[in-house]
Amino acid sequence: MSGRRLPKGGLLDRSRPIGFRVDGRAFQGFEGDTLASALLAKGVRLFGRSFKYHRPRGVLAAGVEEPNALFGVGVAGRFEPNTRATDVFVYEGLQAISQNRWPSLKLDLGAVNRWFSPFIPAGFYYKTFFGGPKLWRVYERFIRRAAGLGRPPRQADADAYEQRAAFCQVLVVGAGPAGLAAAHAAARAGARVILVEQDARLGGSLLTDRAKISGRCALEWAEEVAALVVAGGGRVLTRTTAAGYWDHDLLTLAERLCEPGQTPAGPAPAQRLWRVRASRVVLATGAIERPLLFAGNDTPGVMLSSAVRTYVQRFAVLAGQEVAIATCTEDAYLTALAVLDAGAKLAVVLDSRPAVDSELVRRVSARAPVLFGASVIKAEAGRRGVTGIEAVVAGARRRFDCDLIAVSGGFTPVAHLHMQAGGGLRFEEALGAFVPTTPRQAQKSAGAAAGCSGLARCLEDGWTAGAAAALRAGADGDPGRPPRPEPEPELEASIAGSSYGTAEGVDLKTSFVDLQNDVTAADVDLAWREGYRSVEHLKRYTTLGMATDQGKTSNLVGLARLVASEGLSMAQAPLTTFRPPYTPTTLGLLGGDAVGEHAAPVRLGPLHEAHRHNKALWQPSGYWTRPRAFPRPGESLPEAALREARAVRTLAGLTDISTLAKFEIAGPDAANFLECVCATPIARLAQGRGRYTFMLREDGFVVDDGTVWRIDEQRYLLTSSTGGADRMDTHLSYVRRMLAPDLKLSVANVQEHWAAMALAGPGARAILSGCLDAEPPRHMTVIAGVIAKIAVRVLAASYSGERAFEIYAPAHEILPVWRTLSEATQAAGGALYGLEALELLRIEKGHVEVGAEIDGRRTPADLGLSRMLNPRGGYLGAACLARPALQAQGRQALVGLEAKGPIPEGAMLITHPGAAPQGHVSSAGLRLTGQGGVALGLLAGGLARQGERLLAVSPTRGLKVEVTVALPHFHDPEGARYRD
Amino acid sequence: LEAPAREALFLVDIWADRAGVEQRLAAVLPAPCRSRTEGLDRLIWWEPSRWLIRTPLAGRSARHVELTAAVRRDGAVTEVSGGLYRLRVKGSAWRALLMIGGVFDAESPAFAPGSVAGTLIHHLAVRLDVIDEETLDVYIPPSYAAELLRHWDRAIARLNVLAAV
Repeated sequence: MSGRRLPKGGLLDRSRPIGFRVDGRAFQGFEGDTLASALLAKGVRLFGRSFKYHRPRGVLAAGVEEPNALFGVGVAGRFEPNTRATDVFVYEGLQAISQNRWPSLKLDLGAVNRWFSPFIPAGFYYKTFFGGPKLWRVYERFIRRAAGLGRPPRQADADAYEQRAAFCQVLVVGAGPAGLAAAHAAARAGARVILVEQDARLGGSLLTDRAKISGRCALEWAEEVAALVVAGGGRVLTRTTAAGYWDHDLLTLAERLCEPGQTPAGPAPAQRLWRVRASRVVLATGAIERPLLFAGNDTPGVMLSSAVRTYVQRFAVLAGQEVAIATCTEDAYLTALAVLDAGAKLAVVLDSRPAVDSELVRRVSARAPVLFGASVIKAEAGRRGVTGIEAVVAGARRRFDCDLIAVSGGFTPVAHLHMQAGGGLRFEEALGAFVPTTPRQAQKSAGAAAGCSGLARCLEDGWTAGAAAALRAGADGDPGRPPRPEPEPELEASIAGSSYGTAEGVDLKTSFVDLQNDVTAADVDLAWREGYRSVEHLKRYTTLGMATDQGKTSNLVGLARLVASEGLSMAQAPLTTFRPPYTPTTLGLLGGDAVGEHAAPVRLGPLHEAHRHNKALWQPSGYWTRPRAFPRPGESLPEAALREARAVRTLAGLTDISTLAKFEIAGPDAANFLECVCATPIARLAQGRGRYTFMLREDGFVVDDGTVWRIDEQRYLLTSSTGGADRMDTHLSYVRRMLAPDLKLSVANVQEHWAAMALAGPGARAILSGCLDAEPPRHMTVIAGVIAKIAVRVLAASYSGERAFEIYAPAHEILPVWRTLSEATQAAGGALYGLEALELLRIEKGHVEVGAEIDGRRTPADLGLSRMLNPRGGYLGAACLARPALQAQGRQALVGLEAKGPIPEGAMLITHPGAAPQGHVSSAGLRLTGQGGVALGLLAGGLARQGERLLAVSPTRGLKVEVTVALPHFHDPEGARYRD
Repeated sequence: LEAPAREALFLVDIWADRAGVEQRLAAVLPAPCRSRTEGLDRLIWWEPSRWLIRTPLAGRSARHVELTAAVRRDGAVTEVSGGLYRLRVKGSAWRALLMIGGVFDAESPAFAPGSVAGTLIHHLAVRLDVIDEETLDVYIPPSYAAELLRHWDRAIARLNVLAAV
């Protein structure tokens, strides 16, 4: 016999049948069923194959702790592997496939591993697979095939995910009796509450064990609490798991808006990640039942006692017809009554405790045999699962027929979030488990999570925690009185009790501690014998507590076995660390909306549309998207870049430089501030003039370079690189606020206010003259003017080695200016040019660039800039320039490199094959007005090695080029082409 | 979402005699994290000792001169009209919208009309100015505006779908 649906009862909507498929086979369940309950109701017992030995496995639990029943759910881009059958609610069209089997779940060839199990104990992979690299190539294929649980989806994720922030005074995690009572108290006190429940319904254990609270059905009371929370401005989030508890009371919640594999409505997200900051947190996360250790405890048909009861009372499913119960707690007697009431035969209750006399035990004893002092030896397995149970009772071996064994090895409070928040645990002897103590943040555990038993006590504990949390969060209203079970339940059971050991004569090699990772009691003992005495080492050696269930049912059992071997008590046991997430979280949820080309923000300049119209080839530049080149039809990128750069050398070119960093510094102390920030002299800069400058960090290394312009008596414009813009903003803010707080000045970031373009080339002056209402300025001079009726600033500065003008206008007014100059430039035979041509021009001219040459490790002397330093000092970083290491001979310094052909950028510079690198090629390009390649590099000894021949080697690209060290100026070294 | 017509924006820094500047401006500058409307101007506290003044574009040059005259040597005025986009979010769900991809408690009752905050939404730095319970102004550098609009278009579509469900 096997499971069946009960004719009545449960929290199902039987008017709504739901069709779904598992491994291609059609099934039907009801609204409210989980995949596990629907399959159990159809008599399915085999839910999966174990990870290592491919042993047949059934369903163990009814919640997120399930280690066995893992399925791949959904299809194509919505396929989600390792979905617990107990944690997915069936929906019309659900498709699931079983995992870790070939060719089918029933006939799995991997099951041959069981025959080899003596040769593959815990940690066998640390002792095998030794040998040369060639052997590894043989192993690797098989190891990779065997590794991992489930298969990842192959297609791109079809779903959308959302991330939201939320804030509250009291966050209550868990909507069982304690959590609901906490939310009730906090909301009544006037607190803004968020109540989180991982299940689809509120109630927790109230969904299984029916009760009345304050005179009405407990589930109705739960809905009233939810309404109270919402009315107080709070939120109630079901199907939401508190996955992580981080510093400063930040919790991340994973909300499922539809089930795994289910198609959301329209553009609605499939899941939502909440980032909640709470003033106080009540953790009412309940407790998880532990299995017992005996031979064959992984056989399909061995289930947790509370799970058997949940399937009967919530899902109206009787998982077996002839039930044996093995327990060390009173709670399992509630299961005994539940299965009896459902019409099953209760073969026996095997209680490991000495004889207990309570009303509950008496009720069960009146209807079925109850044996105390009983220890289970093994589960007998037939073709479809459990067929019997063998136990030692009063020194004698006894056997009982059964097709379902409900086990209860005690309850473990769920303290994961408490420990993630830095809280400690203490072992409570009466409960036989660890309970939370010493909170480090604003958390308080309540109810079963704090070790409480019984509905009345859990309600009161939750209410107390909720009221206190509200008060400490500043809500001082009346929380009312604690809710009470009314009338008092006829029978209540304690969750206290524990059984970690095994009976004499149990086969330890088939007594599974961790069902998900096939870790047996023998494996734990072996690890201890081999010297793995720390629980952390045990975990890594045996894989105990790893993978998707993170040891929710196994950690404590394994730990108990380890400390018993050590001769310690449980109170002395070292604990492992709980880390987020509490249950598996999809990567899509963590990525949220920031995926694909929007994985990082995309910045578009004010001329983006104009460039798109000109068919620009784009290049990401930090967050910016900038034109790399403007290729003509049939032209390749290198051809376009060379054409554009040569146009600048011979006639004129126009490029967009709007992304440059720009700062306006104004006020009576502006010059003093700039003398502090810039390493070059600024104070004597005349009004209307500009100067090249560079800035140092406090440690003396160059951080950025640019130009500084005196706009009027007390106002300067400072420009610096695009890539360093945000860093320079921070740097200026640091100097302003920390180093020079008393100066009277304003530093305004005007990067986006001013859009700009550079008109460069021998014909630039003539083109500009035709568009500007004034005479173009002389080199390093700034004037105001008008182009296309727009007021502009024109700065004469060259980055290309040609006469050049930078034209600035407010970003929202730039378009007519660009159009006018663009048309004029092209009419004169010039060209638009992009970043690639800009790069070729500046390399040939020998200008350094942030990122390539200014890489955070170079002093002004390294870059050949020392003669420009302010002789009066006083600038940031000046003191550190005197450090001996920065003055040392042989430091890498800027050089030029020449070759007959292209020089590989990034290549190492070596004297001969096999020699140690002495530098590298930082930027490389082709000569624009001659033949061959030119490059800038950073070389030990710098220009002292001028004329030396070196090899530029790039092993990863298989390139090797002979280069000659030269001055880093390959074009117009005197600057005659742009100076007046 | 609305994109109001372009306006002139000025950053006003004051390092001395704030009372004198306010007298010359004939306006009281808002307290930290506050904003208010004064005639045609929207005055917004921006950061310590700095305010943003939004004014019609038509009078931009004249207003620049007036502001510069008002601050004298006690501060500085810098035009940033091209440096910020203003987006207007209308509707009762603007608080929910801000929480999507956000990190800021937009649902706090304290974040009432006349409140100003700087925060991140979808990794983008924005300034928020609450006009009234149904209206919010959001200032963002223009280069990021398209990214924010894309994010909000999707978020609003989801909000509408979920509201309908």
